[in-house]
Amino acid sequence: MFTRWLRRYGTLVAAALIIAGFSALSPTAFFSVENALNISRQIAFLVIVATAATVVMAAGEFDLSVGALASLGGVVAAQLAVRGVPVALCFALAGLAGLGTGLVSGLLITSFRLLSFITTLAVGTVLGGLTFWLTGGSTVFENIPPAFPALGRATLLGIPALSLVTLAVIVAVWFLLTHTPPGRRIYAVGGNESAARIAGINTGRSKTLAFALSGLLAAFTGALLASRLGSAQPTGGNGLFLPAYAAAFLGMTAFKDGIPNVFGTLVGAVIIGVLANGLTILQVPTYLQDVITGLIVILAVTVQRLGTGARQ
Amino acid sequence: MTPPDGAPPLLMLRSLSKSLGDQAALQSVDLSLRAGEIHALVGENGAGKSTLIKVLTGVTAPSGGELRWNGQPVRFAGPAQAQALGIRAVHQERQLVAGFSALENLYLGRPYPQRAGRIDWRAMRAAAQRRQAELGLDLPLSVLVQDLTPTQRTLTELLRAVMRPGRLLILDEPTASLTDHDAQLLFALIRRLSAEGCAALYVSHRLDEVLDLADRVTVLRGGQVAAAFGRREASAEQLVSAMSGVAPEGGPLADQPTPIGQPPRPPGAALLSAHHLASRDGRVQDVSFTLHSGEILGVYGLAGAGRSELLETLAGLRKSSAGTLQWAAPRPSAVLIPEDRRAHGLVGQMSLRENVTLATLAQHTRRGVLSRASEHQASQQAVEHLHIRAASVEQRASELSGGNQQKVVLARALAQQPGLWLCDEPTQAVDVLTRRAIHALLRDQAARGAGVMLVSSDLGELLEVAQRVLVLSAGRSVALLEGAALTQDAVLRACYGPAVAESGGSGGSGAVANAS
Repeated sequence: MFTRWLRRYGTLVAAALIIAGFSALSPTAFFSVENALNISRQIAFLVIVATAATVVMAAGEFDLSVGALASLGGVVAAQLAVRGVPVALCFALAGLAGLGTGLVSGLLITSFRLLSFITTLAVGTVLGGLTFWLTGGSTVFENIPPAFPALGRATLLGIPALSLVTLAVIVAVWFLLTHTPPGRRIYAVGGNESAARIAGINTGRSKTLAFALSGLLAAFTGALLASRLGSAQPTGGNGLFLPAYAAAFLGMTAFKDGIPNVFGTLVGAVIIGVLANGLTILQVPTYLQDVITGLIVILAVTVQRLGTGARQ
Repeated sequence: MTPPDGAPPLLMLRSLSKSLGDQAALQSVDLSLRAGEIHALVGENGAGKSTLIKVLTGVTAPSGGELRWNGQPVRFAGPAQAQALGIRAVHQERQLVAGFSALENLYLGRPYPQRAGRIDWRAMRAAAQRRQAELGLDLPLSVLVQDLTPTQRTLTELLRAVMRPGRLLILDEPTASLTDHDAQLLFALIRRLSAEGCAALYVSHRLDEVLDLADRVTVLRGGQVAAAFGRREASAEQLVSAMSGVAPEGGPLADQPTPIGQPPRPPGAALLSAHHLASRDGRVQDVSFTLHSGEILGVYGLAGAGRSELLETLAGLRKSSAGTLQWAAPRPSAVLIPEDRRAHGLVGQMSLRENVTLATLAQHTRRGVLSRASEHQASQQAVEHLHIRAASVEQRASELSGGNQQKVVLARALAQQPGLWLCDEPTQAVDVLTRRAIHALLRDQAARGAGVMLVSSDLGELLEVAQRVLVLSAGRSVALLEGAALTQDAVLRACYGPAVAESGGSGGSGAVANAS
C-alpha cells in the first residue's frame, strides 16, 4: 500500500521537500508570496510547452518540434503585430500556424507510418529554417505596438495574467484528455495502438489530433513569450524543448504511475522552475543548476522504476 | 528412469510459500520430481502456476519453505544459478529476438564459440545441428525468427532451452498456439528428452494432453496443492473438480463433445457470404463460405493456414485483393476477439472500466463529456454478468489474470451488440470454468441471432461448440463439414490433404502420426 502511495505521490512529496528546503535556506527572498507569483510567471511557458509534449506522449508518440514551434509562434505573432494586425488575431494566427504544422506532422506520421521521433525532428529543423527566413535572423522588436506586450505584463488582482492563462490551458487540456471521448481515445492509442484499432478507434485520427493540439499549444506559448518580452527571437522557444520533456517525464512519475498526465507535468515543471529560481537566489552558478536539474530527473525516474519493479 | 531406491528426488519442494503483496500466491506447496519424470501442473488462472515457475527458475525468491535439489537444500540468488543446475524454462510469452536468425537466438545469452577472437559461426552451426539430430528436429537455422511459423518458433525456443543438456525442463503452456498436429511434434520431443533423463514440468490447460503425456499430475488451487495423481489415475473430470473445488455434478464435462452427428439447428438467414476471398498479402488465398444468423461456424486449420488472417480480413483490418463478400442488409457490425489479448485486446494501462467502454464511448457521452457514472454502471454490470474477478472496476487491466482479461475483452465486445463475432482462440490459456463461460456466452449470442466464427486450435472445442467447421489449408478453404460428416477424423483428413486420405483406415491419431 505504501509503495503504491509513494509511486503516486512521491514526486509531489519531492516537490514539497524541495520547496521546504529552499524556504529554510532562504526564508525571506525565496519564501514569499511575491516570489511564488514570480515563479508561476517564469514557468508559464515551460508548463504549456510541456503540456503540449504530454498530449503527444499520451498518444504514444513524441513531438520534438515543440521548441521550434514556440519560436515560430513568437515570430509570427510579433511580425503580425508589427503589421498592425489586432493583438488577439496575432495570437490566434500564431496558434493556427502551430495547429497546421501539427496537422501536417500528424498526417505524415500516421499516413506513411513514419517514426514520430524522426519526423518531428525534421519538421522542427524545417521550422527553424523558416523562422530564420521570416526574420532574416534578427530579433523582431521594432515598431511593436504597445498593445502587444500588454498581456504578457498584465496582472489581475496581483496575479500575473500569464499564470492565469497557463492555468486555464492546463485545466482545458486535462478536461479534454480525461473527460471527453477524443482524450480517452488518445490514451487508448498510446496505451495499446493495436487494441485501440481492433476496438474500432481511428488511431490515425487520434494521433493527428494529438499532434495538432501540441502544435497549437507550443506556437501559442511562443506568442505569449514574445508578448512577455515585447520582442521575438528566431530561436526564442528552442530552449523550452528539453526542460519541457524533463517536466513531462517527471510528471509521468506523479499521480498516474507511469502514464503521461497533465497535472503530473505541472508538478514536474514546478520542480524545474522552483529549482531554477531557488538556486539562482542562492547564487548557485547556472551550470551547476543544470547539473542538479538533470540529476533530479534521473532520480525521479529511477525511483519510479524501482517502485514498479518491486511490484512484480 | 526410476532412480535407485532411496535416491533423493531430483527436485523437492517442502511447504514452499510465496506472498505477493498482501496475497499468498503459494501456500505450503509440496511437490517432488524424479529425474526423467514428466510432471504436469494444472490449475485455474491465478492458481499459482506462474509464481511456482518463477520460484523454480530463480526469478523470485520464495518467502517460506524449502527447495531441495538432489536432496540438497538450495536457494537461488537469480536465474543464472537455476540455469547452472540445469533448470531450463520455455515461457508462455515468446522470448526470441525476432530480427535474429534461429541460430543466433540459440546462442542468446550464452558464450559464443570463438576462433581467433571472432565468433565461430561454423562451430555454432555444427553444434546446433548435432543437437537437432539428437532430438529429431529439423529447424531452419538461417531463417529469421520473424519468418518462422509459430510452431517453429516454439520448437526453436525449446531447442534453445536444451542446447546444453538440462536436468529439468519447465514448459509453460507450450501448445497454446499450436495445432494438435504440431503439438504431437512437441510431445515426441519432450518424451525424447525424458528418455535422456531430463525431467519436465509441464503446465497446460489442455487436459487431454496432460493425461496423455504426464507421469504425474499436480493440481494447484488458490496457491495450494489441491490434488496429485499418478499416471492414468485421474480422469479429466477429476482434474476439473480438483481445479475448481466443485464436485462434479454428474453433468457432462466441458470437454465432452455434443454427440457427433446431431443435426445442426436450422440456420437463419445468411449474414455473410465469402466467394473466393483473398487478402492482399496472400495469407488468405481462396476462401468461400456462408455464415448464417444463429450459427457458430468453427474454423480449423494447421498453423499458417490463414485462420487469424481470415478473421482479420473479415473485420476489415487486412485488405482483401480478390473475391467478394456479400453482407446481409443491414450489414451486421463485426467485432474481433483477437488471439493475443495482451498485445491486441486490452489497453493494459487503462482500468477495467475504460477497457469495457472503449468501443462504446458515445453511449456514455453527454454533450461531449464522458459520464463517469454511466461508465461505472456499465462496467459494474459487465463484472457481474461475466463474473469478472477484480478488486474494482478501477483496477488496471494489466493486473488482472489471463482469463479475467479475456472476459474484459468480451465485455467490451458485448457492449457493441455485434451481429458478427469473429473469435480467434478465445479460450486459449484460460481455465476450464472461464472456458465454459465463454462458450455459454457465444451460444447465447448465436441464440439471439448473431453469427459467430470461432477459430480454435483445439479441435475438440470446435466439435463441441460449432455446428459446422470450415477447414483451411494454406490460405484456402478445403472443406466445410457438418452433421454426420463432421468428425475429428474428417477434419484432420481435410487439413492434411489427399496424402492422408490415401493412407486410409487409420483413425485420427494415426493420420497425425503419418503426417508428421
